[in-house]
Amino acid sequence: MSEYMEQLPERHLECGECKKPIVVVYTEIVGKMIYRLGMCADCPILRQKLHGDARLTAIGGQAAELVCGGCGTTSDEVKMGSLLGCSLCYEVFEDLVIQELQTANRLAQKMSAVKKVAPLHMGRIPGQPGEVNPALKLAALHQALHDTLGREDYEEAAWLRDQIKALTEEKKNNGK
Amino acid sequence: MANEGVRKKPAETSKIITQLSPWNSNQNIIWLASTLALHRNIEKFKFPQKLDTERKKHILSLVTKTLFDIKGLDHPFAVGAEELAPFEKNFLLEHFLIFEGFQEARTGEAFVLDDSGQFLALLNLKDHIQLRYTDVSGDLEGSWAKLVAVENGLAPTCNFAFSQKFGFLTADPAISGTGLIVTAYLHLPALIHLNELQDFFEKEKNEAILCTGIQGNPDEFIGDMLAVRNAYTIGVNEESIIGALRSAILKFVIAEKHARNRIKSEMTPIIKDKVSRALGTLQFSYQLDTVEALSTISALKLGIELGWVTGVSVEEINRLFFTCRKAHLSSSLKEKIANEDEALKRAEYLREKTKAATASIQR
Repeated sequence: MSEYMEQLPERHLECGECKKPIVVVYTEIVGKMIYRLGMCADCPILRQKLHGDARLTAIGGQAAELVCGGCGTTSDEVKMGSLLGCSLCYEVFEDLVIQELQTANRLAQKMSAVKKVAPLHMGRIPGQPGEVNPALKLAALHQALHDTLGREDYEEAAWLRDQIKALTEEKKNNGK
Repeated sequence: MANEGVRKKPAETSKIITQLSPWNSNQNIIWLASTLALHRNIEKFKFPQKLDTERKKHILSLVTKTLFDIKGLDHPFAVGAEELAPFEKNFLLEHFLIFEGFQEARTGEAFVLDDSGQFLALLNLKDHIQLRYTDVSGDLEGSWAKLVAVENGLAPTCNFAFSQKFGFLTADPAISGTGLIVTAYLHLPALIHLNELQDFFEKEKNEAILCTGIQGNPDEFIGDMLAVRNAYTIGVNEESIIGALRSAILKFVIAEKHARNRIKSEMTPIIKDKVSRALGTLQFSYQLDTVEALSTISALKLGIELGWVTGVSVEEINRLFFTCRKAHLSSSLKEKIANEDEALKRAEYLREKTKAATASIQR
């Protein structure tokens, strides 16, 4: 049996630092201990371990890390999923934030192919009223009724019809 | 020193742990409740994580003063985070269905509540302002309008951090854009125990929707409860978020109703067994942890709704989903519960609350 004690995480599902999918298994031997860390490809901690302090080193011709002038947040912190420090971070790290949103699948898929200059935001702006078209509720019920009738589930269809009727009457009364 | 930025109303701190509305009269069968959370930051201030305590207090003063004057809130009051005991913070977490802890909350952070028990503003936690509204009437559109009215009420004194590109700017970019998270809590014991939930997920795949358990875990549905929320806050508008949620909820409700009808007509043995065991566990246990309590309460609720169990109302059983959790249990029993006594006290409480229940399940 090896004299080395091996410490393995139970499963390599996500980067221990950035919580992204694992691409690299980094093994470090310190004395009699073997440490294995699952890390993503662009993990700043991995870069630090391989090349020294990332703040001081430009790697592969890339510029050294960016720092937000408003709050001191660094690009490495953004890559590792830390919270942003101020509104200015969104301007300083714009490309990085978009890339992180895409990687984490937090950007609606239809937006992934949008041009770089186009706004990602599609919702209301400050001060706008918060009205939602009341027909939405009815549309969902009609769609469900359609699906239910397709399955010949008449009991549920009757329940949905009651809901539609009640909502239509409520709308009529509110309109009076 | 008490928090200077918050209008102090010490007597109202105790109101927090006795607040039971809207959970004391919830008669919902499948769609138990929904929460809407709106994340906002104030322009020209760093986000809370990078902000010093003095500036945090300045924000508290600005926001609480404005919130107190907003029509539509029912006697709002503010409590500084450092004024609350851990038990009171837990009560807030349980009451407002928050699974991201704020036990670490400190000076410069505060909560604003009102007498409805449905509104909560979290100030200077991850973002300067998080407005939350809990709804038990299935009115997502109305709840959204209420939150926007509060947000618009804040607008004259607070310029929100906003950009054309990213929308409302939040500390976590993953919730920028609309900054809106809508979560619906669905009780789906029939789909879960008939092992049909996974098939349902596959059949009704919807990339706009995320489903987890009430603690945020996608694989563990404690109390047979599913939390269904919007997957995206940026790249979509509020109407699409609410529309997608409503449509998904309706599909879940129909599938669950369908599964329950089948159980009722087929008298599915595995479900009969679950309901009977649940009643036995609740009426005769001497130790019950939270997870087991929630799962037995869930089975009993199903039994009541199938007409197999009588003597306890749906309203009472829905209330038990809350009052069996530690902070609420402590509040209901009006005593501080030591960790080692928790399971014992819970079992005692549930024995008392379910003693009138009787099962009449056909063999």
